[in-house]
Amino acid sequence: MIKFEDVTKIYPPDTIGLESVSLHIEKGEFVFLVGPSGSGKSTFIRLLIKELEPDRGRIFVGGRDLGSLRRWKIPYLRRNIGCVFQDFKLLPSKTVFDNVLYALQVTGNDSGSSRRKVGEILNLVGLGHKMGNYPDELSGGEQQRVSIARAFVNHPPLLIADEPTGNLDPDTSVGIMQLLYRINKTGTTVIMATHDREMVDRMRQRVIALEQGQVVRDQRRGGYGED
Amino acid sequence: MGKIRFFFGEALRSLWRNYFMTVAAMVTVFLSMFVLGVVLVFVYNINAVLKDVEQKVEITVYLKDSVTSTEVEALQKQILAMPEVKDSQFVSKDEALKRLKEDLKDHPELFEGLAKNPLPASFEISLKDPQQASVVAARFNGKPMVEEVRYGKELAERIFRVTSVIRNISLVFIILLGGVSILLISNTIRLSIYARRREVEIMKLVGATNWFIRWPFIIEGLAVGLVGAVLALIFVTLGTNFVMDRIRGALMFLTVPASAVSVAQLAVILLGVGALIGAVGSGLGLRRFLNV
Ligand SMILES: Nc1ncnc2c1ncn2[C@@H]1O[C@H](COP(=O)(O)OP(=O)(O)OP(=O)(O)O)[C@@H](O)[C@H]1O
Ligand SMILES: [Mg+2]
Repeated sequence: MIKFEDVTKIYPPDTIGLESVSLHIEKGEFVFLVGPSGSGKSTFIRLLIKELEPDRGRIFVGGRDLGSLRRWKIPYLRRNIGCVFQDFKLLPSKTVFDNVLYALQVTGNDSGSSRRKVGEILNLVGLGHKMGNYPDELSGGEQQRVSIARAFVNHPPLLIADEPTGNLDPDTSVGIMQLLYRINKTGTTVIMATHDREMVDRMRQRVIALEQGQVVRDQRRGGYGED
Repeated sequence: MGKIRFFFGEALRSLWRNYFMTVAAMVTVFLSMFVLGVVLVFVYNINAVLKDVEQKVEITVYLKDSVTSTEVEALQKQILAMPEVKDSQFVSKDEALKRLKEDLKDHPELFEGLAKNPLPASFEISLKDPQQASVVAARFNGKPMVEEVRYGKELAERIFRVTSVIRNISLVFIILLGGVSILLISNTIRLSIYARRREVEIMKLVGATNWFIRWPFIIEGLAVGLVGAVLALIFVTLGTNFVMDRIRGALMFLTVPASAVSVAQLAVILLGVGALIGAVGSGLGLRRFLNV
């Protein structure tokens, strides 16, 4: 599903984002991306949705070389990757409902059934009562859940979440975690960047640890730290 | 169909939400189109007056007294057959005298004791393009029944020199003004897009195509351009009617044409330019922010 071949990303002038990362993620896997702040987790994710270009190396998603992907095809790549952004990236001028609906509208789906789907997913993340609010009327955790709902809503084959539980209380975090897990069980590949040690240790999934842009550990059934 | 409704909905919502920018852009379009409209009306009217002056350049062909009525008829046919000629009027000796008497009716003593009509008969020829006067006039030189040809050579040439200068200046002025309007409006639009560049970036990141993002912006620009232009049209029309009434009152001697430029013509120009600049300006202003 995803292949990194010796990928290096350097932010001008000389900040290392990722350095010589090679890895392989199979379809249907659940992967935790861990590492200290500034270790390159978000960079990894931004490279995956072609928000950034690598300075060296090649990235494949779904068998496609992102380096040779034509510009006009990028939107179609992104529709197949649900992404929960670390900074949420909600449209401030749209309500919670319309923010989630937008992810369906870009694909040309704006029917009654898509609206129903949006309502369902918002109920699922516990925001059924805030559908008409604007993002700046929500708490950080609530905004995060809207971002999660938007990433799920059209059931993409690949789901990437950049610290989706970073602003949530333990109970809600567990709820979101269970949701991601269920989604993964339906065959969706899930990549989740996180600092949540307890969660990672409990789930015992594949763990890829980054440090200063390099992969320092890639463990089948790992924990947050070294065992 | 659903998409079109979505695009219009997006455009309207955003016009409403960013009402400050909307108003600022509309005012910019309004002012630019107003100035452009006023200048257009002005130039159109000057042009009409110039045309009027130019039309006064006529050729007068004076005939010898010996000319017969069949000759006159033949010549009239010949003149009317010339492609440059718009109209030709035969003025007989009697009629010429009558006109003169009419012109000098305060001085009837001048005509006392006039034994014989001293005035020649003539053709008064008006041309489609008065600039052709010298060419057409030359054809009558040397014809046996022609006494003399006159077309106010000097005057005609001076008039044409002046009118062409005035026309060129107005043209340059309109082009400059059009350019300034485009710059001003597209700058305002760019500002309003810049304020929303984060939104555009987010739209791209969740998988919107460039056109999906662009259409609402284009519709917005179109709406702003149209509303601004309609306002400008209303004010220009009302304003010029008011001013023209005054001018007509003050300058009786100048035949200021009633409607040198019709409201319809002005509407087509102002609305067209306003809508085009609005739509294209929005579409192009967005370009920079779509590279995500
Ligand atoms: N746009 C940018 N321009 C310059 N440097 C950047 C930029 N984005 C990230 N960096 C740098 O790249 C490195 C990796 O950043 P990245 O955001 O990938 O870290 P992270 O692992 O996501 O951290 P966190 O856990 O705090 O989110 C950091 O040193 C960061 O300062
Ligand atoms: Mg990060």
